[in-house]
Amino acid sequence: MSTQLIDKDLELKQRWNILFNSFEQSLNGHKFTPMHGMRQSSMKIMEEMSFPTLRDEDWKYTAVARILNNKYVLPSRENSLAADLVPHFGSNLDTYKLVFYNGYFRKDLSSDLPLISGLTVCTFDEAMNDAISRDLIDKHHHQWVGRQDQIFLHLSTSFSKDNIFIYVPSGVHMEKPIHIVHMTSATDEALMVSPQTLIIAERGSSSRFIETYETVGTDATQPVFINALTRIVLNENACVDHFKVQDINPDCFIIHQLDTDQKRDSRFMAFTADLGARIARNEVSAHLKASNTYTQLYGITVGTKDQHTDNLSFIDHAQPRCESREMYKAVLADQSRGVFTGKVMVRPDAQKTNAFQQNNTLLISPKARMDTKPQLEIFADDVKCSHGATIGQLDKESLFYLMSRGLSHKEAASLLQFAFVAEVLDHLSFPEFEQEIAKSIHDHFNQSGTL
Amino acid sequence: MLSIKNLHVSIDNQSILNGINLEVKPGEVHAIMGPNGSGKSTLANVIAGREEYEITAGTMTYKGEDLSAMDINERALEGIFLSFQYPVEIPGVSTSNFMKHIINAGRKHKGLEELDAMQMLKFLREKVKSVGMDESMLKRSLNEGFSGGEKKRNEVLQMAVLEPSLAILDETDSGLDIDALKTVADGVNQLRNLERSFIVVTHYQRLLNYIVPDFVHVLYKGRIVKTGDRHLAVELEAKGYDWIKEEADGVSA
Ligand SMILES: Nc1ncnc2c1ncn2[C@@H]1O[C@H](COP(=O)(O)OP(=O)(O)OP(=O)(O)O)[C@@H](O)[C@H]1O
Ligand SMILES: [Mg+2]
Repeated sequence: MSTQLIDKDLELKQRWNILFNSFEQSLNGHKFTPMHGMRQSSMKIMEEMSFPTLRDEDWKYTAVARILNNKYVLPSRENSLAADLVPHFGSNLDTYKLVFYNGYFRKDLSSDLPLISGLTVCTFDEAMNDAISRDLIDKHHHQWVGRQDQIFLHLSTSFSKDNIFIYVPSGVHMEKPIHIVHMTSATDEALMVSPQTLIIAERGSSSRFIETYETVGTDATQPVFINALTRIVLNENACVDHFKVQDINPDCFIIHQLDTDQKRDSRFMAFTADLGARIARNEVSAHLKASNTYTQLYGITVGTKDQHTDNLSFIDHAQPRCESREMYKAVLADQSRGVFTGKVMVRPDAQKTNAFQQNNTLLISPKARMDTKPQLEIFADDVKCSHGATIGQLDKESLFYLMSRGLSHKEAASLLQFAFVAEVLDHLSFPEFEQEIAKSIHDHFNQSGTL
Repeated sequence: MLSIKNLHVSIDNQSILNGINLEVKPGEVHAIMGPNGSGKSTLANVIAGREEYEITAGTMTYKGEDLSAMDINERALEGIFLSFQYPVEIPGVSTSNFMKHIINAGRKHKGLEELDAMQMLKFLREKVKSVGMDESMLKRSLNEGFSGGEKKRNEVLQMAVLEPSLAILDETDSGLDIDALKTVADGVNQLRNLERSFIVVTHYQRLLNYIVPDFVHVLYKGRIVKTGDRHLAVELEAKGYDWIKEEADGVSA
C-alpha cells in the first residue's frame, strides 16, 4: 500500500474508533453482554485489516471510497410516527411483518407472531434470557463472525444493535412468510445502519423470508449506509426461501452479506432484486456442508442513472450429490454499472455435483457497463458444471415489431426488458411476491432517461 | 390514402428501390408480385417505418401527411398495419399480454378507455375464434415455437383487432394450407370496405381468387415494371416472370 492509502486507512480507523467509543457510552448497562463482547472483538479484528481497493480481486470493479468517505453517525432510537413509516414494498402481501426503522426494531409497527410452539422471533438482547437461544446465537453468530475475514462484516458487527434472531422449530411448516422490513430515512448527517439477522431452520422445517430495504422521506441531504448481514443455518431436510428487495434512494449505499450453511437434504433459495442505491454490493455464500442439498441463487438488477450494483456469489460444494443453480440478470440503463462474480468451488469429495450458473445482461444505453466474471474451481471429476454469460442489447427486430403495432419505443422496450428479467421470476414459485416485484421493476424502468 | 412518388431506398449504400410510384386510394386492393429479391418486403417495411432503410429520394404521403416525419408507432396508430413476412418471435412476452398492450395503446390513441381484464379476455376470445386459432395460444410467448401457419394467423388476428386503414400483407399466404388461406382471405374481406385499403404482396395467384385485387403490380429490380388488373396475376401464374424480366431488361438496356 502507498503511504497515502495507509494514511487514509488510519484516518478511517480512527474515525470508527471515535464512533465506537461514543456508541459504547450510549450503551450504559449493556456494555458487559455477550453481544457487546462480540462488537469489541470485531472492532479489534478490524484494526488488523484494511478496506478493499480495486486491487483486491473480489473488489476489482467496485470502489468503496465513495462509501467510506462520509462522516457517519449512528441513528438514535426515536419514535417516529407510525403514519410516516409505511413501507412501500409488500404492504399487500399476507406476511408477518417485523419492522425496523433506522436499525431499531419497532414492535409497535410489527405483526403479532403466529402461535407456533417453539417458534422464536426476538432481538439478540431479548434472546439472552433464554439459554437455548443464547447458545445458538453464540455458536452460529458470535463464533462464526470471529472466523470471518470480511472487513465490512466486522464493521457491521461492531455497530450492530437490534439484531434479530429467528428460530423455526423442527418439522414446522410456516405457511405465511416473515417479512423483515428495513426502513431508513436520511437526515442532515450521514447515517450508518448495521442490521443483522440470524435464522435457524431446524430439521424438516420450511419457511420463507422477505427482507426489504427502502428509504422513506424524500428530502434526504446526506446518504445512508446500510451494512447488513443475514445468516441462515439450514439443518437436515430444512427448506428456506429468502427474498430480498433493495430499493433505497439512489444516493445511499448498501453492503449485504448473506451467508448460509446447508446440512444434508436441505433446500435453499435466495432471490435478490436490486433496484436502488448508488452502490449496492451483495455477497452470497452458500456452504454445502453435507450431501444432497439444493441451492438456488437468483438475482435481478435494474440499473439507472449512476447506480452501481455488484453481485458476488460463492457456492462451496464440499460434499457429494449437491446441486446449485444460479441465474442473475441485469438491465442497465443510463451510466449504470453492474458487476457479477460467480465463484463455484467443487472440492475433491464433492462427486456427482451439479452446478449451473448463468449471468445475462441487457445494456440499454451505450454508457452502461457490465463486468461479469465466472470463477469455477473444480477438484472432483464426476461433476456437471456449466456457466454462461451474455451481454446484449435490445433486439431491433423485436422493437420494430412491437412499435409497428402502435407501442411507443418506451413501452416496447419495457415489455422486452421485463420479459428478459421475468425468466428469473419464473423460478420463485411465489406468485403474490412476483406480482409486487413486477410492479417495482416497471416503476424503475420508467425512472430512467434511456429505458 | 397512400401516395408514393419516385421512391429510392438503399441499405448499406446498396440501392434496393429505384423509383417506385404507387397511388393507393381508399377502398382499393393492390397486389404486388415479383421475383425473389425484387424489393417487395423492402417497400412494405419502408411504409411501416423500418429504420435501417435509407430513403435517398422521393416522397411518401399517407392521408395527406408526410410519412417520413412519423414514428413507427405513430404510423401504426394512424392506421398502417404490416403483416410480417417473417413475424418475430418474442420469448417471455405472452401473446395475451402483447395483445392487451397493443389494444390499449390503440384505444388510448383514440381517446377511449382501456379495457379491463374481463372485457379484454372476452374481446380476445372472440377474435381468436374468428381467425380459427386455439385459445391456448394466448398463453404462449408471442410467436415462439408457432408453426408457420400459426404465425400468419396471429398476424391476421392482430389485423382484425387493430382494424387498420391501410393493411400491407407481406406474403401472408405463403406456405399456408387451404383452410389457413381462407382464414387470411376472410380476415381481409371482413375488413374490406370503401374506406380501407390493402396492399397484398404475394407470389401466388391462388390468394387473389379470394381477395380480388383492383390492381396487380409487378416489382422487378426495385421498380414497378408492369401494372394490370387481376388477369395479370393469372398470366404470371401461367407464364412466370421471364417475359417480364426480358421486357424490363430490354427497356433499361
Ligand atoms: N437488411 C438488409 N441488408 C442487406 N440487404 C438487404 C436487407 N434487406 C433486404 N436486402 C436486399 O434487398 C433486396 C430486396 O429484398 P426484399 O426482401 O425486399 O425482396 P422481396 O421482394 O421481398 O423478396 P422475397 O420474395 O424473397 O420475399 C434483396 O437483394 C435483399 O438481399
Ligand atoms: Mg419479401
